[in-house]
Amino acid sequence: MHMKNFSTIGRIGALLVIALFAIAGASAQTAQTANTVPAALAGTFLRPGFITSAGQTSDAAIVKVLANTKLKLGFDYDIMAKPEAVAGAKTLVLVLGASNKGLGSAGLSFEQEMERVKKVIAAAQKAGAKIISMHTGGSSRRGELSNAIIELCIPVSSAVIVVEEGNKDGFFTELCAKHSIPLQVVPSIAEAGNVLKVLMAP
Amino acid sequence: MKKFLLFLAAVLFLGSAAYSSPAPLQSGYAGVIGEMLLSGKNNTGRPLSDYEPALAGTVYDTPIVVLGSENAKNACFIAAGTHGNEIAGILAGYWIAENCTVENGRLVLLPRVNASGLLRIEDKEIAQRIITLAGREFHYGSRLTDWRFEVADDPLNFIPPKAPVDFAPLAGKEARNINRNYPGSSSGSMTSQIAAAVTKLLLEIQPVLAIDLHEASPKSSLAWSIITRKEFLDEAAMAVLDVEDQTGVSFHLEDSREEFSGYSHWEWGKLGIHAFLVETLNPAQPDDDPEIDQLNNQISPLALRVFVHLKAVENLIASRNLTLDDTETIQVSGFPRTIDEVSFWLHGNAR
Repeated sequence: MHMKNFSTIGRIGALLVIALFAIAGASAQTAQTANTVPAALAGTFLRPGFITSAGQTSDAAIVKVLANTKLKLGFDYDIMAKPEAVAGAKTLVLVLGASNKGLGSAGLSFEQEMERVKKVIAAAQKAGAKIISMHTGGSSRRGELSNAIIELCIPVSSAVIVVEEGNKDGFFTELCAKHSIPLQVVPSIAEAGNVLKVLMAP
Repeated sequence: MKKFLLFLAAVLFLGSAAYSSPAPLQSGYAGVIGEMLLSGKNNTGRPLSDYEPALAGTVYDTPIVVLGSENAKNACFIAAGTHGNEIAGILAGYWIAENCTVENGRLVLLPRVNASGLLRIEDKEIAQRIITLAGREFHYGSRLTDWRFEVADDPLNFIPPKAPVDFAPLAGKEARNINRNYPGSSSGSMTSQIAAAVTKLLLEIQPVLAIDLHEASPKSSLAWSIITRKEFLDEAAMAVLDVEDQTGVSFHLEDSREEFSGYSHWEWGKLGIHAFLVETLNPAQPDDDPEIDQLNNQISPLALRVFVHLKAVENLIASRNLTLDDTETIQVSGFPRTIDEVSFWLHGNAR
């Protein structure tokens, strides 16, 4: 009985968090800051964390430098991580965006990269890790291939952080609303890092 | 006033009649020198032809500007004006030559790698475009080198010298694109010899980093970005974050691969040099549309582009310094703190 009540309260709480995020992120053009991250979501993503790309975008390198060098969050990193590499992580950060140059550099076709990302997500979910999706590359990471990667990753995410230039058409806003995923639209990559820091447990 | 007099003296002394005459330059070196306001702090004694003698006295020769100690071991190399129509990079180079001071190390700068592009608008029978800024005149030039003095006509197609076997051939006129010709060849075309001279210069000075300033079309994924080889991505990422923070421009990072064969940063990187390509957004590209106002363009005004180039250089140096011993760092002052400083320099008034 107690467990059932807790579960019900938990579900209501989770829906409340999503609603707060959704309200905050309802307008695709309104940028937010780390200060607007709902308190119920702040600090809920556990360490160790792992950063990889979804689409071989070099934006993953920027997120790594931002998270580790600037913010000292201590994530593990591999732009083309294999599933077994993320098995020990409690938070998986997927940096979204398909890059033909990145795929070429990695020697991967887009289809192979999609398969890799699916397997990485499955391994993370199996290990009980929560997923944060980040999109920092703006409109240059919003082509057909990027959108396919985004549509793969958003539904499995527990939080999404997007630099607003990549959400001018409201694509993330609609997708996150459809899947009830909390979305934080931020004005800059630096602010995306600040949101990531707030989400992570101390 | 003093700078203006120095400028006049430089123009008269070097006999550059480029501004008023449509005739081709006989010396690319003199043409480039004539566009800058130089002082005693920078050494422009050496032409690039010191490294490939066939360039001497031709439209293809260009000055090497050195700031700081000639003998300093630690050097930063900066190239601009490889494409003469990418004026933000050229003006950023001129800013560095005129306003920066090196406190530690040395800065070796080629403000217009493609000096022959100074007086040409490629393949168009239209008047040379002159941009007048704060009473000074600058040439909006050509992407490619001047075909009139090349050793041969353009080939049907062109493959960069170190490209992999499956490389898709480029259009023949790209044989006159310096940034497809690295590492260059002493026995090749004049364009290839320019690239070879730059490579020899790099091998001599062994810079701790090298930066090539360019501009890209609004439709290009390279606009507003730093491009580098995979091994230097972290250094570039740090600079990207700081450039975005300091300029407000949504800047991004691209990693390169074999399709960049012949490009400066790709080939210089093979020499072990931490090499970076910086691209701002030129609203008139890809066709150099003369109807587009480059200076006051709403999306990408010239002052912003020059400012971003300069902040990219400043932050790439800072990023590289993080991995160097204190005695080996490059310390440069004189970069702009605000876009208004650049605007004042370009236009004689704040934005």
